[in-house]
Amino acid sequence: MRLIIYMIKRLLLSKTIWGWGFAFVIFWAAMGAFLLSSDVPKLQDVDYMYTASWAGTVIIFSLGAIGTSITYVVTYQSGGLPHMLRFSKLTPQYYLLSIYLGALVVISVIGLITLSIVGAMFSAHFGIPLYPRNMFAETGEILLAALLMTSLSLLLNVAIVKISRKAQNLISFVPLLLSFLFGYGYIYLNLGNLTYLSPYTAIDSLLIQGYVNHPIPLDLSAFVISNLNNGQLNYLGSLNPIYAVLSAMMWFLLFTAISIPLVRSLYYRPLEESRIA
Amino acid sequence: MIELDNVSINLNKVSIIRDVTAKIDSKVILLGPNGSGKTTLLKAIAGIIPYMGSIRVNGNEVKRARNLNLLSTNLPEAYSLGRTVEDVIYLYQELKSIPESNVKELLRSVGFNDLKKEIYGLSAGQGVILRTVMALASDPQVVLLDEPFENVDAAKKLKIVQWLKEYGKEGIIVTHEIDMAAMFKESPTFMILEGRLYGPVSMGGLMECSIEEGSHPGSLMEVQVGNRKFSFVKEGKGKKMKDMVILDRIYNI
Repeated sequence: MRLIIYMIKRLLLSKTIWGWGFAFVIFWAAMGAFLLSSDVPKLQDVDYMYTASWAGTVIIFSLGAIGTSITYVVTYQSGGLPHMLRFSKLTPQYYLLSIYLGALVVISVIGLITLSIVGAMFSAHFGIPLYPRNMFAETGEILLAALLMTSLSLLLNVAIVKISRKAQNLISFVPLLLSFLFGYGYIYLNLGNLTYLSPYTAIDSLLIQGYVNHPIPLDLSAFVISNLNNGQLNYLGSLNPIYAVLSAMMWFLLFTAISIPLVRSLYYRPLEESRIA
Repeated sequence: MIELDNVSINLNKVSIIRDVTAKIDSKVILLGPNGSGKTTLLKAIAGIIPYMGSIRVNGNEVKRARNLNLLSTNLPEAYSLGRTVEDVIYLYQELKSIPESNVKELLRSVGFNDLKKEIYGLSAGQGVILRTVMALASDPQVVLLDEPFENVDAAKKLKIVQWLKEYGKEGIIVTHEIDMAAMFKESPTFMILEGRLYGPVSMGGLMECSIEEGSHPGSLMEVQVGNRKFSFVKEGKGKKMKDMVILDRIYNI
């Protein structure tokens, strides 16, 4: 239990996580609310969708940033794991649980505060209340997103330690890079059924749907480009949230299932292996 | 009990330990010059790095060991889970079943009160003391101690000797400090030279030896350095080991 309490405390008090996972994404949300919204008509349904797509996207950015911080936590802790798993009570399951629960708490706290601020900023700009309509769904989706992002970060880092720390500086940022790629990709590209396949877009779409609390288009890009500006909300093919939830859960279970045996078979690799100079 | 059977260790394609076989069922001293493979051998026994051959602790192969809470070490790699001294004590008390009071009591006895400090902010000596205390405080069956006197001031060294005699039933103590090693006269002593393990001989006997080139009948131990053979001879003519002050001098044979 102590490792879990320690992780929650340390992650919640991390200035890096609050800087990149909160302040930085609030900056982007402010851009979306006050600078990039000049062409958006002031119609409640359209404004809700616009706000929801920004909320989903900035939550994904936040998760990416926190995921990257978590890879660094694992980086520094991984040196002791080979010894502790063999000669202490530590098990891979307990270690993973402590990371997951630490991440769940910090991501939930940051996610819910971010959603409130996004709602407040967009409401202030459009002059109508634009807060999440289904907070229960949003909370559940943030928790699912936290599990998914943490499991990916953990897997990436364990793979780095397993293969070579030389790839550390590149691979640690993969969660963040993917969050930007799929976060913007979902808004501006027709990903079709890839929306379900990619864990990022699956989560992003669920967050948007939970925010507006009604079905959203699978092809959000066409909707954004063709319909948003003329105030229409017509689209073909809605997102099936069950597929998106199943996809996110499948990815989480897959990442975790691969991580456990990898953690078990880890050996120490010096941090200096990743030094550039 | 630690059993090594034909253990070889390569790091970055360089052979560090070659075909070492030994059985350790008491507290032994391990001597050897820098780069000879002492720490590498401890790391392999502690499960930190991979090895070839077989290393068993109480009959359990280290490669496959799971949650064997009977071995502790002061190797820095083992203490990466916490950020501050307080964190390390808090976490390892649970994970290594260390009695609540033991760690703080031992640390207090050497005037170590700075528990809020980050691990990376400790002086070299403080780091060694903390990790040695963490390794010994659970009174484990097997201890692996790498240079427990390094960078530690004289008064605290004596305290550490006292702890080493009191805690841990068997294991390996690596040291370069001849005056400290001499306090373990009864302890079996091994020596690593160029990746090969020699011994055991008694530390008390070794201290009375001088080093002679070649084979000598009745020598306590023979070692090979490059192509040359040297013997540790009890009644030899050269300077005795106990008078060498710095143990490193014997390695420049």
